[in-house]
Amino acid sequence: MPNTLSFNPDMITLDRDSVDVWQYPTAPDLDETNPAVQARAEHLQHEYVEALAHDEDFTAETPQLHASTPELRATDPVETVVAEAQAVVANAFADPDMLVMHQANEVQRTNREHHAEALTRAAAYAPRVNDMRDRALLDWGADAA
Amino acid sequence: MGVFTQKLASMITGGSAPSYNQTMRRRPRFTRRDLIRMESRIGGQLFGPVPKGHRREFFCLDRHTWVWYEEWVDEASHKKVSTTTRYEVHDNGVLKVQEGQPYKFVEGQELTNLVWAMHLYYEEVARNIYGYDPATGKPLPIGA
Repeated sequence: MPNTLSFNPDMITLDRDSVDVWQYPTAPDLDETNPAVQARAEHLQHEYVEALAHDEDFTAETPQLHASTPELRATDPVETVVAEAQAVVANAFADPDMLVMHQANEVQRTNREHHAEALTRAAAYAPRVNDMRDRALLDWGADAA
Repeated sequence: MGVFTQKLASMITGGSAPSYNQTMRRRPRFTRRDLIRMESRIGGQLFGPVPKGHRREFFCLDRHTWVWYEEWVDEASHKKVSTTTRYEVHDNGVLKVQEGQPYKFVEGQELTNLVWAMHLYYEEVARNIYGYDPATGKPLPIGA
């Protein structure tokens, strides 16, 4: 009977006892415990940092990163509201019509405040006068005892 | 008691201008109407000189109402005419009520002037009729 061997990669299993793959030597340049590898890695990292610091493309990215910051901040509700309010104010003062409307609103607000203050004062004087009048009538009026 | 008040008292009581003691102590028989009449004489002078032939009174009627009364002779008809304006102080504004005119709330400069007149009125009557310091509300020394 012919000694035939059907090959099916899926059927291949590694038996650690029979084939100890873990005993294969590790490549020296991948051994992180190797001092030479560590030194090489540190050197490469230093070169990389230096390259980034002097890389125009990298520095050019910095403003883009900053420019994107407001968008990121805009997710903050408070920042969003403030930004919108600032935009409204800026637009209001940039647009003459809006500026006039803003001034008109300010005048109305001021008028309301003055009106309220005037009304408060108006309401105060008549009772004061009447109090004095009542006391006078008690002291030397026709109703005085 | 001020000279002005003495004159006012003399207008009401007649005769020469009495002193404060004579007016307020010896003849302590003022009615509310008398007091309002005295106040209105002061009030009528708060808005500047009264035109010749005019009679003007401005007074506090009660705790919520002020009255402006103006009387004069019409040059064309030579008849006496008058107008009465009532200012009612409500929580939401001062309502102006005039004969034959629609009611309206006083606003703007008119309201400012009205409140200023009320303020002056209070100060004048407090000091010159009732003898109170308008700032403190305390009685003024007699003769002040």
